[in-house]
Amino acid sequence: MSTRPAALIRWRSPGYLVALALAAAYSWWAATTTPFTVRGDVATALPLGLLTAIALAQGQATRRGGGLPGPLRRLGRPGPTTGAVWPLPSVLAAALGWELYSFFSAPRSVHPTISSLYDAAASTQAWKAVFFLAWVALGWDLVRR
Amino acid sequence: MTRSDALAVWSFLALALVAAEALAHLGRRRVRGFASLATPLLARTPSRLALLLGWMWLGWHFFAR
Repeated sequence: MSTRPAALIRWRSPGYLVALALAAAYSWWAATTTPFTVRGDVATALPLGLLTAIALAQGQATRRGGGLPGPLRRLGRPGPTTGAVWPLPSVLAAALGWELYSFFSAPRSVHPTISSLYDAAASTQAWKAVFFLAWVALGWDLVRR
Repeated sequence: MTRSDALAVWSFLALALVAAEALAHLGRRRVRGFASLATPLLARTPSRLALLLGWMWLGWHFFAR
């Protein structure tokens, strides 16, 4: 496993910048697709399948003791962290509560949920591309940690 | 309750999330951020699988279905 500082330094490498540019271009294209269509399914399934394959390869490499190329390896565990745990989970719990309240309230125009807010924002290609890129980045971060 | 009230609550929650994460990075680590909270969950296979499945559902829900 690579160490965390080394992995963070790699973000400045040309390889990562190229990967970021490719992901942004792909997100821009994915933002042109419409949900409930084959193109929308394919655009979502490709990064989903790719990251699943990387996660499976990581699992196999761990079991067999084999190696993966550096950028695909999981990061080393960070040192012990300190600090208050409650702030973020509290806000997330409040957001979950508000989402549930909105979900079971009507009409939707007065009680917007995260999905309906997203639908309004994603009506423009640029915002949808930003959301898609953020989703891909989140998946990549989860797979690497 | 009006739509403006609901949007104000969502805005407050979004700002609170950003503020908590910013504090984790800028506040001499007095508050733990997303990465710090997620790392122990990602170290164990069941919770790692659950987080990855959650990420998959999120993408499929918003972009495909």
